[in-house]
Amino acid sequence: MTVLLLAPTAREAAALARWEPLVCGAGEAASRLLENRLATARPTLVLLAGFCGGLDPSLAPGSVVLCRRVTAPGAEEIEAPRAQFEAVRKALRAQRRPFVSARLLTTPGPVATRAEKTDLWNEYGAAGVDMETYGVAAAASAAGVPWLAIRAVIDAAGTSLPRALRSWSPGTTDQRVAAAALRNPLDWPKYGRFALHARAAQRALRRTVPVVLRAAAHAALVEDIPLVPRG
Amino acid sequence: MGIPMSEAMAVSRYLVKQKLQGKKRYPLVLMLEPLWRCNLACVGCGKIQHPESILSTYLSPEECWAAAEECGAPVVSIAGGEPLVHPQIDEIVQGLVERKRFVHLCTNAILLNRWLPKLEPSKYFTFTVHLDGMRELHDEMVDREGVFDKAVAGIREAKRLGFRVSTNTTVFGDSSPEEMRRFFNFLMDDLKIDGMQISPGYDYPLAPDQSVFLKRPQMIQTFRKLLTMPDRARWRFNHTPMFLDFLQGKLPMQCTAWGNPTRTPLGWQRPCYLMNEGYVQTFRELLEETEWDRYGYGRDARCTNCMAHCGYEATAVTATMKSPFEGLKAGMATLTGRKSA
Repeated sequence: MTVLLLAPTAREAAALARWEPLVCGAGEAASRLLENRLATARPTLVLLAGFCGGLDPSLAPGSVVLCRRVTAPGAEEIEAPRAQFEAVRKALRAQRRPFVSARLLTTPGPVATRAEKTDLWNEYGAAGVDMETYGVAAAASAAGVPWLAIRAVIDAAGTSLPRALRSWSPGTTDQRVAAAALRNPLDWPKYGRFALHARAAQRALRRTVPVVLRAAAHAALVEDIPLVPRG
Repeated sequence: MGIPMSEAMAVSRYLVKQKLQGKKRYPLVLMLEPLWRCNLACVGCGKIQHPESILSTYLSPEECWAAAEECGAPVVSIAGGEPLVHPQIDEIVQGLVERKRFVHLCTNAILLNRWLPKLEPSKYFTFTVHLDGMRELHDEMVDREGVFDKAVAGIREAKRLGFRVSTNTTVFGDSSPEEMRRFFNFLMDDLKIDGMQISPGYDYPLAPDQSVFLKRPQMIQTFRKLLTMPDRARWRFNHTPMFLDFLQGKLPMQCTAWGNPTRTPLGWQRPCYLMNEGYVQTFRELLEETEWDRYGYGRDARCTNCMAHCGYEATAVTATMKSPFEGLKAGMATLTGRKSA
């Protein structure tokens, strides 16, 4: 069994370094990279792991969302493959890992403010919002490869992102964010909190991903057992 | 809020106690269904579609009191079925009041006059009469003519005898905000009820008429129109300001399904008052062995169009306790009996 483990950014990949994830890039870059990869290789599972913004108000930073289905504005919902999803859900529960299995929403850019998050929560009922899951799920489904996504909440529903991160795009460097942050000392406590939340999200991914990988491997083995015709 | 200060204080004390004990999950309101038999068949009700053998099963007063003690919630909402069909409902209420539970008896009021002489007014006891609108709409929703007039007569008599009376209104697709405005003014100004509860109808799969239910975005629009009317300042709701903000889509909330555990003739219903995935025999089993994180908006398709108070008021109460500002708003609403949001 081969799992293609994807992480959108180096920061997310750092939490999973032990399992050597492929940094697939944020936003549309992730699905483009996956399409290219699947043209030449065929893993038994694509697992996307990373951070998300919280929309479900009951989820604190570091809460884990196992994606049951993913949606995007104006697009048809994609459901995670049932066998792999159920195997992982049961394994996480058996290991008493805190998580919710819920819908994710993929948007083209970061969702920055509390008001935007409330509107998206009311409209989509997604536990979290990210920029890659829908594209990755669509690319994997098109290639006939099972996929799963696991996300850790970095900014909770009741909070807005610090100003320098609101216009974040895949090309934004850490230096640029730091420079913008330095210009607004009043926001420094927010950046401090955000850094703490990022660490909580990293820890959550580090704890959860091994359980997901083991369960997904087991599910793949079960799926590989050939059916013996009766009689 | 329309709830009395003593009830608000008892709930606050209970919440502080749970917090100090470090409990993650605890009930706020016991939904007690001593029977499922009803003398109506409302178009939006999915509670009473059981075989005759189950409809004939009633909880005894002792079972009801044991459920209240096992659960420990400070408030007990007696629902059903129609509780006034239960032959020992007076004993059940009396026993719960003796245990200092704040009892809300939810009734369609058809049999109210029969029971009024057998019940005693108390600060612990409130009749919550189901009324979905003025005469035409209400009788249409309960699928029987004359029920509105009976309920109104029952409310007037109960008020005359000194009982606390509140109403419970389910908002359906046919409920226009303007009609609801007239209706709420009638409840407050004419009937002088002590408080109102409102909740969007839950789309029970077993309800006889599925067309009456609103989808979540429609619910938000309807409540936004309704609760921003100038008359709103005169309406006294038995809800926290945060729950009313949630209904208008201003505040995001997730359901607290364990906040209102449900005891039925078949046991403790899992996972919540509105959804049924079977029964367990003890409250402890319900609380500790239910996979709570599987349920809620965005997690379970059956929760998509649910904004009912039995799931979200517990969230709102807990959030109110956490925020000094919201606590103050709710306190003011309780003291003044009027809106503060």
